[in-house]
Amino acid sequence: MNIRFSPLLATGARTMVPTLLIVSVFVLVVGHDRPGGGFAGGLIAATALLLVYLTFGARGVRRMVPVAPEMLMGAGLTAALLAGMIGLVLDGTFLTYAYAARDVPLIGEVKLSSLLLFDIGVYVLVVGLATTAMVRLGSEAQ
Amino acid sequence: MPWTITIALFFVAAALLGWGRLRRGPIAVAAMPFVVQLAAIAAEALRSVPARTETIDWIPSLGVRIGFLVDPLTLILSAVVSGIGLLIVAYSAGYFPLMERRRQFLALLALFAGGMAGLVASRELFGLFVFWEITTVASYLLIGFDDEKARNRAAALEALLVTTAGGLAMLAGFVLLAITGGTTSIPELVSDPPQGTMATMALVLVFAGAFTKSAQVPFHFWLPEAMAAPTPASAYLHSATMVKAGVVLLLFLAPGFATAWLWTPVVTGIGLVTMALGAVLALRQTDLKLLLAYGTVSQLGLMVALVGLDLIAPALAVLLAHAVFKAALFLVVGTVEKATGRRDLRELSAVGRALPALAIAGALAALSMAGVPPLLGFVTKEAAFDALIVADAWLPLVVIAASSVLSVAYSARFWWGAFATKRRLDATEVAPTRAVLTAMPGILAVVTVLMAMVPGWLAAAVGEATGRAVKLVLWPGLVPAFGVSVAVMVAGFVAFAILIRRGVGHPPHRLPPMVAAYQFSLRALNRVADVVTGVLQNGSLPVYLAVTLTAVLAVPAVVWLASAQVTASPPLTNNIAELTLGAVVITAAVAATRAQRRMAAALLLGLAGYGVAGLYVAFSAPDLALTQLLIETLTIALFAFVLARLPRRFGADPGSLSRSVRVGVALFVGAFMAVAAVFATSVDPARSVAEAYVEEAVNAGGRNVVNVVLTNFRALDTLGEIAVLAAAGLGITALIVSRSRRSQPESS
Repeated sequence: MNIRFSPLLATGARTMVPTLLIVSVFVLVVGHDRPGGGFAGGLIAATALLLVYLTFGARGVRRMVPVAPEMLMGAGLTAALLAGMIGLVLDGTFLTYAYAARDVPLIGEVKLSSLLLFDIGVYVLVVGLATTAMVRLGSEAQ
Repeated sequence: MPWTITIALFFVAAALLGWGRLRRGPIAVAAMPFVVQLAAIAAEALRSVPARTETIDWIPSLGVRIGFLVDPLTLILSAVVSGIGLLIVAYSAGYFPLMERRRQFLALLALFAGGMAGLVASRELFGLFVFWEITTVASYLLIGFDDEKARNRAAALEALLVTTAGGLAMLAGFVLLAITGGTTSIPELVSDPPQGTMATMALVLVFAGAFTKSAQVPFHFWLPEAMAAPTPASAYLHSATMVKAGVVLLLFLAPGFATAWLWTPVVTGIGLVTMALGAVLALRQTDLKLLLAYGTVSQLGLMVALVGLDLIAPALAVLLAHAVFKAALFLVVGTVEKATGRRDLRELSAVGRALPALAIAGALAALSMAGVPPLLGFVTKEAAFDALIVADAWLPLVVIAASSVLSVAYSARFWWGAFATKRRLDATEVAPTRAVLTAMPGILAVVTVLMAMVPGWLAAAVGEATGRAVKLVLWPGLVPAFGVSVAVMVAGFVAFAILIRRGVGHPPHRLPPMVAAYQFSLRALNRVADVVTGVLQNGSLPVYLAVTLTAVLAVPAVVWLASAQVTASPPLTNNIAELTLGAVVITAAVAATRAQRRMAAALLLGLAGYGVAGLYVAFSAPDLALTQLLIETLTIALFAFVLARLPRRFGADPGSLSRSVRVGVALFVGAFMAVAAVFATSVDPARSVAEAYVEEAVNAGGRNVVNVVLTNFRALDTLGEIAVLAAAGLGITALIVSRSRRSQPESS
């Protein structure tokens, strides 16, 4: 693999990628109340990985995602299913969410719900799919 | 202890064994559920409380329940499942010297036993069906246990296809029974059986399930093939327990349905034909295991015939006796095969001298199979003859007696073939085997003697289980039934003597007609599948796209347009931003169709997508806009990956569809979507569901309605969609990996 190393891209990516990843997690977490959610968050993370790919190639993506990308998809699906199972166990209905809200000093009200686990599952799966496409399709293209 | 737990323990054991981390003590783990259930049976029997039910609501909205009835019948059948199962577990310790194979075998055995224990205790139609199919799947895995041989895999598939086909028919029958009878509980159905054509249809479908499972003509052919299974599995599944499931189901139903007009002719008819055919075929086998398999077919025919005549008490007695002696005989064959490496009776000689204890156990079990006193087989067959005479069922009596003559002959032939010293053969070399391989069939042989010694106790148990009195005696006196028994025995041994003088003969070479029919239908199915696949999956993406889009136009579009009403006409535009963005989208879309280079077309599509995202912003839908923007970005990147491997320009070749067809389909779909959009925006706001969504979203704890819809109201859809995404991702990997494997050896 010949790496076309662009200093301009690399410098940009070094600041953009962490920023995008933080934004993606933010979008994921606030998704229930504000624009965002697991799908949008996952897509933002995927664009971050795309930037890595364009800058450092498939090898760069592999270094950032040290597991097989298919594992990520499986993990995402498992998390979403698990979120559903929590409802099945606690409430008797698949995909009903357990929910708790606590006032935490300094931070304010923190809502914790198995819904977040579902959204995390979607997020991880989307990232996994994008990574799969990049690592598998991309590496062969070069 | 609740009965449900004793059944669940089997699955726990199966999971522990299957998990693979178990380094030692697989026998102890596997034996645990059997011992627990035996203890539970003993406790229940001593307590002698009236029958109790345990019900679990599984899918309440469909009325699907798992229900166990702990009554004498369940206890007797469970005792067979657990008692023989425990001996099989011990036997497998000697049969599988390799720890890993032993563990795998025991995992499947425990899985099967759980299904079987659940089946015999079930009195809810759909719960019973689930356990029924668990046994089918476990049987499939056990027949193909030695999975390196193609023949074994084919035999496993054959058993699976035949029994599952019957099982599905049975499920349809259960549904009909539940609808016509208004209940899914078997005791309730039996106390008030549904009448009419639907109920008759239901019964025919249930018969299909029972007859395939219990290897009745014309579905009997899978059972001899199933002898590819390891012999302990054959002893347990394919003689003592699973193949009895059909008989057990008929036993459950008989008290209510035996008066249905087609019950006796169909059930007894099939049973008698099966009994006779099985006995004839058993006599023609030289493989000891096949001989026993056809013998099992024959004996199952006897049980089915008895149930067909509503003689359920003798049927249950025969079932018990058969389970004991046939399991013993299979284990005897397994030990002989372990010791000599053969099981063809033309190759075995003087094995009895080398293995005297095994020969005695085999003799007791074979004599029990032949119905010779003072053994359990005699006691139960005598009861069957007596019941037939009392019931004035002369035709069945003649067929059963004639088949029993053959049973005596093949029983004798079995023992002679396995153990006798043959003049023309040298003594077969016998390797030492573990003691447990002789002890387990020995225990079963002792049981067949001991149970015959307490016929009164057995008669009481069977009577309690079936609610009918049954005559089980060791010495019946000079009654007609005893005369039949004696005649059968004499004729049988004479037939055997004649057979021996004529030589052992060869098994038939011709393919049995039912096997030929099965193989033909399998080949025909494959051919049809090839043709259908060739037509539908012709590899042309334009054709796939055209078919999908035309289907959208043809069905939902027509239906929807026919019923939709325009109640208000939406304004053409709200502001200048919309107009500008709309123009951008349209221009990009038109330009994409005119583009000569693939990458240019992809970029123009992306531009159209960004324009749509802009429109979302204009309509103040930031969520959709965000998602649309991200999707477009990633799509262009994916296009780039793929297009890198395609020619830069579109070819002149119109592909498999002419240009005019493609343009036509595209225009129609576009026009439909445009009309649909106008309709959608013109819906009367008073009837809109939007307000309800907004209100409900707050209840669901979220202020982002789109996200609440995705993760709450339509969570199952979302789960399905992400599963599709994962499947697509795996598809990419599979395609790329298979391509790179073909083109070059994997290096990186």
